[in-house]
Amino acid sequence: MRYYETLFIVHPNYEQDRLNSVIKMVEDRIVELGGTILAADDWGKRRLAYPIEKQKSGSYVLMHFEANPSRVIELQKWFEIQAQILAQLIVRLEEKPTGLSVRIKDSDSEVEEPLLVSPIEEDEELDPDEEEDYEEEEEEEEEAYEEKNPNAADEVVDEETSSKESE
Amino acid sequence: MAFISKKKVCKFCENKKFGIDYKDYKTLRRFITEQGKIIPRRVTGTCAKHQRELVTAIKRARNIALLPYSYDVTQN
Repeated sequence: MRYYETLFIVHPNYEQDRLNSVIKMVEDRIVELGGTILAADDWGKRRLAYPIEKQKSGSYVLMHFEANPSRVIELQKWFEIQAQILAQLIVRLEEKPTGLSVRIKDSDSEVEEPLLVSPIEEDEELDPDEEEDYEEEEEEEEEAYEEKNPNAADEVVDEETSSKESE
Repeated sequence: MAFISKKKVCKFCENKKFGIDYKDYKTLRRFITEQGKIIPRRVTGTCAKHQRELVTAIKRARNIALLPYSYDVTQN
């Protein structure tokens, strides 16, 4: 029995009651396949980085469970059949999960971020300097490399011409 | 590209509390460009081991729509 974590996205039009019934359905399916649920957490609605099934947002649910590795593939196939689950990811965990600690970090950030900020604007605030530095550094390194080896190309040409002359 | 410029230290080696997690999109977002591409480690100064973990985390996050595969750069 190994520890797994799954993060899946439910269609955004599902309000809380139907969302809870979907979560229950997933839990039941895991138990049917011989697993045990360790924890489940609902992150609520988030904006997706790219549209999935034409939807721009979705409800994220994180679940930790323990199961037999051979049944996990069946779980993944079952997930893909469900119409209301837009996307899923199942990850194997090295050790027993202690808590949903990443959720706590994210909940702080979700309070700050409005859901309708476009990604291009966000990145301009955060990374304009980094992008410029990246391009500058790449140019600097290319110039330095050329300085170190200015004669590499010339040597090859010389060998070719000299070999032709000898023949 | 024979050297690591400016002798940057790997941010993850320095501070072991920062585990690399695909769910932590806030941290991961600092390692992709404006276009959504992954920044090479010679620029960020990350060590090889952590860069590999970072790349798998970014790819997983992209898979689950926490990070984009690319942005349309229409404003340049």
